Amino acid sequence: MINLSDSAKKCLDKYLQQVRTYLRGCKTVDADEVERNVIEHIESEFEGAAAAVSFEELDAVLQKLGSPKQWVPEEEIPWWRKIILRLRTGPEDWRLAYIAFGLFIVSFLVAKPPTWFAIVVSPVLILSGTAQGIFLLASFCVSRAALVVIANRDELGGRKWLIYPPLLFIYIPVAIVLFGWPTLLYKINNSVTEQRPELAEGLRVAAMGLWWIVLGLVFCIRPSLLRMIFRPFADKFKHKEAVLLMIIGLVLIILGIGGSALIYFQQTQSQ
Amino acid sequence: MDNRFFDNWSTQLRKGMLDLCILNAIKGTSLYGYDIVRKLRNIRGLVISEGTIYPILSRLKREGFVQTTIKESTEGPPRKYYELTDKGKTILSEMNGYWKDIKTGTDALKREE
Repeated sequence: MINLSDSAKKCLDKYLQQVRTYLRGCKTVDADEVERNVIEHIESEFEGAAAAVSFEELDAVLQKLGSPKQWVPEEEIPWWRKIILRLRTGPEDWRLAYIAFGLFIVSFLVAKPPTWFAIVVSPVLILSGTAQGIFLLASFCVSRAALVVIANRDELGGRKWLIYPPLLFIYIPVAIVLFGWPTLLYKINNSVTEQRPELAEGLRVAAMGLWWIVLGLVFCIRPSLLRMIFRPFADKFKHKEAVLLMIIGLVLIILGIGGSALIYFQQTQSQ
Repeated sequence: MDNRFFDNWSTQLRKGMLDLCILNAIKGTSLYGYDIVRKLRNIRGLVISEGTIYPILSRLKREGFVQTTIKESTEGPPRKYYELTDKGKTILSEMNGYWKDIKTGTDALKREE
């Protein structure tokens, strides 16, 4: 048996205690065997030492031996510990993905009462400064930061399951507002529709078509704008898609105005 | 960024190489744990944490590639000695052949540069 100083003995006891804690519940590793291995290693290191082994000497050997965690086989590390480990030591791009998803989950937990339908009101929650909104916004920002680190969408792999939900919670309402605001907000309050409310729907469709042409024009000039707003979902958006948006807008105008005109003429003829 | 790439790559490489080196270290002899650590310690960059060798030895034993015998020691308590089983000798021969092929191929690529 080697002779350890008091502080060295405490240090070894602490190390072995940590090893036992990590090995708790481990099926394939015998904690007693690991303890014997550690002690045998230390005894071999200090074989023939004349004086009691000091704390510093033992600590140096334990440092070389490595963290108590390493005695647990990788396949036996519980999932939650793997997540913590990945957060603490894993590469940045995985860490950010986990943080983003964590904040996203917290945003639901802090909601009173839980606002599970927040997908349609997330911008309202954010703008009104609720705790849920703040966590949603934070998870969105971290997701976007993770995207910057990962750079290439094809390299996202399993991280997409962590990053996409917070992104979609913001993107979907933003897309609805961006593309559909004329239908959401447009109130036809002029003399024509007051007299003829049946024309309102057609004019609303035409107004949206006009807006899509404007959007298509803007995105045709700067397709990177849409790619930037809806990263990574719009990464493949190019001029071709912007032109398609303008064509759809034109079709909507024709349908809206044509439909309204048809109703108008049918009604005036019948009168 | 480059350092991180190198660290990840070297960690992966070490994981596979440690099994091969441990089996080679005890080939034709029987050694106790610390002796194996001491032998591998001399290979630069192979052993970052010496404690990683013991779980590998346990795993190799579980898989039937090595067997242990407890022998009395003149310098202290009895020690656990590791030696290859027949199954271990067979797998080691395969592993060495595989590693030789990889190394030859890699060296050939380097010469082509």
